Amino acid sequence: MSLLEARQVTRRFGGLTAVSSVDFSLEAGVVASVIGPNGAGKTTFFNLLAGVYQPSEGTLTFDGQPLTGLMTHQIVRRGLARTFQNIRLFGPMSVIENLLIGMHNRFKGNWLHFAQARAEEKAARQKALETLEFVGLSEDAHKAANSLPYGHQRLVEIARALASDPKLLLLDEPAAGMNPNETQELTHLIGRIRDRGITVLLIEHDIKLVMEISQQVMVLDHGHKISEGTPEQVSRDPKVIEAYLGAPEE
Amino acid sequence: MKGLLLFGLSLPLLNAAVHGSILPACCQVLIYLMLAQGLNLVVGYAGLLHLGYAAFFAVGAFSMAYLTSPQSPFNLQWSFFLALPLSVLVTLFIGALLAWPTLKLRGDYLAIVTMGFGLMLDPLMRNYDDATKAITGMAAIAVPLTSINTTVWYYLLLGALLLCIGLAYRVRHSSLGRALRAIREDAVAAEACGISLARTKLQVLTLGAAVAGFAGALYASYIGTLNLAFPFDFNGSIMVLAMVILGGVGSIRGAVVGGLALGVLNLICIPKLIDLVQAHVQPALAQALSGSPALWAQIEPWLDLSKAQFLMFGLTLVVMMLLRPEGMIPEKPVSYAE
Repeated sequence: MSLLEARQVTRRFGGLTAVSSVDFSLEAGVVASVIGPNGAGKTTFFNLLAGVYQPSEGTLTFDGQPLTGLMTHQIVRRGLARTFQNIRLFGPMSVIENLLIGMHNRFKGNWLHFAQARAEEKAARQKALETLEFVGLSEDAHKAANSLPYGHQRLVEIARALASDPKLLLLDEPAAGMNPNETQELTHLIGRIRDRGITVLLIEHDIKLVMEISQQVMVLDHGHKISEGTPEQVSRDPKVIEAYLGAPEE
Repeated sequence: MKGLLLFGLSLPLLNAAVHGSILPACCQVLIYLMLAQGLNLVVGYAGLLHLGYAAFFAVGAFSMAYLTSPQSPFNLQWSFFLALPLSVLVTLFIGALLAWPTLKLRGDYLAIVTMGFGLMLDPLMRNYDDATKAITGMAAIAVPLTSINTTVWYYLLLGALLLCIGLAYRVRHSSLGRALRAIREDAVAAEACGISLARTKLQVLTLGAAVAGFAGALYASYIGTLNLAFPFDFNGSIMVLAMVILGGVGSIRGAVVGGLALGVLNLICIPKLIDLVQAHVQPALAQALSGSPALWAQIEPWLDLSKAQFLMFGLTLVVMMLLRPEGMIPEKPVSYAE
């Protein structure tokens, strides 16, 4: 059974159909990408998965359970975490506090239960530090998140999403604004996240990165799925080339 | 802060040593400081601009009066120690009830709705005076000890304030406080981190109301006779909000210092200044201008500064905000370094 299943998912905003009858299925343990020109509906598709929007039509199933009607924070608890296209860190707070916020769903002890709350807090900080080490930001744990360089802020956002212990990680243009060196490290990191057993779905414009790490690619254009398959299949598909470069002139 | 606490503990002795008479005013300041801590949870921690906070203070105070005063329409005459927790519970319940419809509102919209709540209670209680005794008032509200004096009250209220500060500290360093900060910084990202906006806001609004109810119940017992007047009205809400903002939004120390500054200014400094002008400046000026009675007749009505109390208060507020727009003690991020 697939981890994520979208059936005939449509989202309309007034007269505009941002996502139109998209069927998509994602197996656990892979890295998959959604690509497409600007305005193709990629971020809307992500927002549908994350519960920011509800589909106008169609169904979404995650880990055997329907996502329809769930609110964002409930979806996070089911194991679906995300990052944002424009970094949305809690700027003035320290990096480790950002991660602890990402772990909010593991705090079950009421804040009045001193002993239980303290034990949870201690375990959470330990786990947060481990996650920071995993993404290579141990040094920055106690710095204000908005004081870090841009590339590191991206990593903090990924670490914050990882801290919630997701089954599926949605990355919205993680390489945007990164230099080639940082992109290379990011590619490596996404591979290591997959090796931890976390399925990764990303929106990305950096085609090199997409081709290098994805097992599965879906191409959206004007809200429609125009192609799907392995990176090789998709890159040879005339419809994809047309969407990106325009139809060949006669 | 330790110095301030030490000063607070020794204040009754200092007051007695100089034969001062400021202790009753100090007790009122302590009540204000509790309110400032409670409102700081809502406005400072959660970033929810609440303009009707004094209504919860009124609910707590009137609950105490209804439960204990012989003139209460319910005529229950409970003891203080039974009435205090129940007053807090009643306010907590009403706080949760009024929070419910506001959970989806943000920023300005929340401010307008909470202002509506604040403005609603006052005329409602006045118009139904027969049932509410809001104007008639209720006397002989129960006290914690049978023969209690102002000094004992002072220490009781100081203890109650420390309890409120302890609560504020506890929330700040808990996962609830962290969730509140996250919502304040970026509600969308907070939700994407698994934080339920509705649940978290409900928790803090309820908690804030409970603190106001606690302060209100103590206030009713302290003053003994209760009717509906400042600080239960909209001006009271604004006064407490001014304390929080002046002190530094989100900062526990800020709420203490801001509350002290405004409380002392409003309840001690300005009244003292008014008395001073009345006692010394007025006779001296009258003497000096005895040659020109026409001029004196022009000046004399202006020398009653009690009529300009709010002008002085407002001006001081403006000047202080211009000098320190981020508050007297701005909030610092929580440190997780060992």
